[in-house]
Amino acid sequence: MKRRSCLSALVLSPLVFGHSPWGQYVVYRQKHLLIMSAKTDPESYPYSELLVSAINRAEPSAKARPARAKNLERCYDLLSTNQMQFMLLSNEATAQMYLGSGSFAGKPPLSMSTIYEFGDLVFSVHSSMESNIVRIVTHAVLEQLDYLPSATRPEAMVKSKNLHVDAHTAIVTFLASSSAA
Amino acid sequence: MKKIVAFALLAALSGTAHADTTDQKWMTIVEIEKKGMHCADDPNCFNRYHPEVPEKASANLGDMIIYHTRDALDTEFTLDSIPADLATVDLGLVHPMTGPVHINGANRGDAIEVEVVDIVPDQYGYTVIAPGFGFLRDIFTEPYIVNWQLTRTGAVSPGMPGITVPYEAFPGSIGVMPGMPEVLKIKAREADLAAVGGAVLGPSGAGALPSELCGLGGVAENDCLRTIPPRENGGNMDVQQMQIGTRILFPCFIDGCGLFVGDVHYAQGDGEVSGTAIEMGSVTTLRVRKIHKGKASSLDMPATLGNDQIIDMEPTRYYQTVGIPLKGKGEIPPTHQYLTGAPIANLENLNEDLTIAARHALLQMIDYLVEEHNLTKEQAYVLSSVAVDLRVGQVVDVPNYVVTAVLNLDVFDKYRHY
Repeated sequence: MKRRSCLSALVLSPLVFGHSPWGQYVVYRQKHLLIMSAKTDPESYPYSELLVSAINRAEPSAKARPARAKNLERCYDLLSTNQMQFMLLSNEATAQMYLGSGSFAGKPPLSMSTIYEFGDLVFSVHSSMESNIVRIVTHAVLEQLDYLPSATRPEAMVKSKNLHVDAHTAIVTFLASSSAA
Repeated sequence: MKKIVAFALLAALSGTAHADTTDQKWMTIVEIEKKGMHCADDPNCFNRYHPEVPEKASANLGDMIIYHTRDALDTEFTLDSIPADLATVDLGLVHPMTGPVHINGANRGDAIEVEVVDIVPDQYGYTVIAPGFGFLRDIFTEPYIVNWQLTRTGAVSPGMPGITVPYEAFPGSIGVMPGMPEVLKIKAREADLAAVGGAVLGPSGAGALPSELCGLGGVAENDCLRTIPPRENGGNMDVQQMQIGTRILFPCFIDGCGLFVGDVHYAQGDGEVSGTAIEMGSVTTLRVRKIHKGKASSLDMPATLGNDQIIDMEPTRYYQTVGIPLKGKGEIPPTHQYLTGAPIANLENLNEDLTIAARHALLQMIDYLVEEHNLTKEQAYVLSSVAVDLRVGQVVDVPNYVVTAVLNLDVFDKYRHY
């Protein structure tokens, strides 16, 4: 129950109100945990559908939905203006956004951190996202690993670079409870 | 003789062909082309109203002004677009307009009579349900898209099997530039409405074009009007009767009027209830037929002169629902959530209310489409947006004014001669 109220807090977070030029449209972003992919990053959208289903199974109150941007530049714009908080993109695209390199050279690096990795895909979140929410989302992913092909094993994930501190905590807790069980 | 034959042959081969009508020209054409992928790349495109938006061309009375227009959302939607694409669309780009064009001889205070000469549709169009937008935005809260394949014989879509929507194109947005007095007046009244909770989008520099005038930090950022509401200068009127062949009268608020067009619709029902018609890019030709000197003051708003265009749009068979101002107890529809919204919550019957009557008629139409034609609710809402006409029945039989919803049954292939 506590988890659900925390996810409600996510969708009411002031973050989602930022810079949207169309006030009515913000309502949708208030209601749902949107996971952004890009049409030009072809593996990202199909996998985001799997991830959305997995999170909704574990945490129905998240009301997760996929959101596909036309290209990586649009992803960057939405993330950098806090209109979106979660993204699932290829490792290369994610790294370029994290570092402000490649096609994002000259742009401010995005302050994003990793929640989880699935093969070449990285699921990440704004570094400033509330701790509880990151932990809940990470835990939802961990509970659904059987349904998420190519997911990195939790033991390997804790060593991942740029892992969000609260994702790290959630994974360590998960591993501890698994070994205890 | 040989010489004569040789001369005739030479003349036939080298001379200008006069064997058909193609080379016969009488039109003076002023063409405003589309450049670049999006409005932001295109010097002939803008998406805010202000008297200082630079004119892109000038035209005389009778010139054919050919506008290459963009779709309403200035998107990259394609035939394979999906609902997830909607959540990332930048709605700050609404609506990309082509122009404005200076009409020689027309000054502030005059009125111009503009003929819609032709509309050539793109091959692709779309209709969407955008979360938070549309007449039933409290009921249809998830994104949805129908991708249409367009020809002038009809719009069809894999997302709407068994349905062909007739070609009845018109400019969703057409108008002239407001003058500075109008800008100030409009800003003031819309700010008053916003203060009591009205659905008003004030000036916003995000995505605004031309950027140096209307964009973030632009010299007139706070005076550039958004294109969503129709106003005295026309704009986003979404009146489907403005068909090819009709003439639209506009009051001029600046010298040269600043005639523009955009957001062209392949087809739309009266109401455009989901918030979008069949949206498309186009090549639209306008011609100014008359300048009525000093007649702007006699036009509070644009007006349309037509002949049989309305008759041509009428269905040959139809289904009609009847709505009166009834609603659920405790319900406050989104259209009524300002000013007096709270006191009506517990009323089931409202007084002389056309909006609630329209909602009542539309909900019945959606139920009919779902139950009788096996459409999903979303398909029914989209079809209503492009092919159902909301019409006022009467405004006298208190308290229950009537709005009807009329479906053109010709859209169903099963009723057509295929």
